[in-house]
Amino acid sequence: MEIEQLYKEYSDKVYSFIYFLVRHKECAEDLTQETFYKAYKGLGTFNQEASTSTWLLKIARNVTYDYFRRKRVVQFFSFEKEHDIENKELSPECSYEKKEQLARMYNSLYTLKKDYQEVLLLRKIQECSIQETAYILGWTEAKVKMKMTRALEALKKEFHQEGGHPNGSIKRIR
Amino acid sequence: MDPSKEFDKLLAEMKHVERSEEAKRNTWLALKAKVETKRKRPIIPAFISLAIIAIASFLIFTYINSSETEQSSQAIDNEKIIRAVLEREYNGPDMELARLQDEWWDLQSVTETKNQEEYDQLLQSKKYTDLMDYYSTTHGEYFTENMLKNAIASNLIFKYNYSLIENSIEVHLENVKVVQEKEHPNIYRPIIEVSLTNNEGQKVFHTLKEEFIFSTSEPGKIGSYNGVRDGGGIELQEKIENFPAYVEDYQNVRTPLIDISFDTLCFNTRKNVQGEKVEFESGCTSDKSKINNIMENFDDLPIKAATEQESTERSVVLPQIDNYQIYLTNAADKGNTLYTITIFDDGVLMFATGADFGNLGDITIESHVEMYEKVRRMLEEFAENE
Repeated sequence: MEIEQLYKEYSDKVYSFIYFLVRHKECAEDLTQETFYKAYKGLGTFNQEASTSTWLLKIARNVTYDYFRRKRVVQFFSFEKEHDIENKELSPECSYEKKEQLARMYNSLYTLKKDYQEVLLLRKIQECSIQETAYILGWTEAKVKMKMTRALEALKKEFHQEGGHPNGSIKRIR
Repeated sequence: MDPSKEFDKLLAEMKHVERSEEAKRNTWLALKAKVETKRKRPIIPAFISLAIIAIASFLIFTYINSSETEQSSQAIDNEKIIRAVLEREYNGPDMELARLQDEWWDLQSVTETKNQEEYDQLLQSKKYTDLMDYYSTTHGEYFTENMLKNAIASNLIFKYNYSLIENSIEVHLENVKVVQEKEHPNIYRPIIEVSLTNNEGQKVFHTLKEEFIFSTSEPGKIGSYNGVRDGGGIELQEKIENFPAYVEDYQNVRTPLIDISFDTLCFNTRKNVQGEKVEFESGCTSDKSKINNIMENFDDLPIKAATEQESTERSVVLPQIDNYQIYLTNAADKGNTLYTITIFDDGVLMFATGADFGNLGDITIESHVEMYEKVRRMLEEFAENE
């Protein structure tokens, strides 16, 4: 497959995956570019062990981890301090109630352990199968299942905590 | 509500990440420029290409027609190359590589590059060339140039280095069995046994497979290097990242679990007196304090299942060296031994359920001579000389 076709077909998926990890649009674009450049260089060795999309997500994850290492970013999946979910992420049509729920969901995800965040992101947001998630994260399928169960339990606990996360910047909308 | 369903709708909402067409197009243009720069670099005149094809054809022809002796000799050389690559890959972490990577990453962090040209300039920096030179020095002689580039780009070599450092684990290559494909003699799938050791000296073993395909155009160079699907690479990564759990499960080191109810502790012993005569002693106590004082010595001893050889060795030395056999039982039924601990004067202890002399079951992984002396004194307190 040509790189242009690859980019057209998968760049949005790769971008959204990276964006969830870095929470910075320009940075996500740069890392998307880096991901496809690496994919282009590695096309010859891609052995179809996984689907193209899964293979690209794995590269994207590695590229993002490299970025975190370069930048010495300790907090994985960190939100900008003054994150602006309410203003940017949610469309005007979004009801206040939904806004609040989504904001709380972001906030709850943010407080989870790194591996819980990753498995939720891949399984529930990127809609990867258990097998694909295992391939991307380098885990066994059993571990994916186990982490997923625990991640959902942890998310439930965080989400239903009264008033959201105590240190979160999201305020309850009344 | 089932947590797996409760959030589906909200999480589904999060799929939609806004991305402007302009940003998407700009990223594509930057990527395209980068790809084209890479394509332009190796400008090889047509006649050189033809010459390469001719040489490659000649080499392939020569290879196909080579004698069996030559093939056998080549196979031996290929095995040596595979072993050399595996020595690099599975003895580490490689701290020199980590240092060079850190320096390059640090340079990127402090150097702002506004466009591709500036980034390309950064690629000329000493930090970057030092890093690339290191890959060439360590692997250049084993891989074709193209394969080496791919291996660096897709993290195929030194693939566990970062995780090893992050988790303070050392990897050592223990054994390699190189298996050559009969139908395709250029393909080798070695079976690799490695050990992982943490900074407490705890060790876990792992076996995995990889695949090496030697180039037909460049004999003696690896043209393709792959992990094998279900070959065990993912599991190795898992063991590095979750080492403590695997130590528990796989090294099988644990502490004694004496899961019985008893109220009396008895012992028998044989002792050499001044190397001339042998004395036998025994005794029993139902004093809880005395029993607890003795038993707490064994609580935290690291033990593992005794091998057949260890059991045999202990059976041989049982009548030869001083030892105490401690029996756990109940006063009402002293004939029924529930658990036996044998403590030898060389500091080895054996644990077994029932009336076994302690020669089957678990054994301490190291010697505890001081404990022998301590327990001996405690037992002597209620000994009845025979």
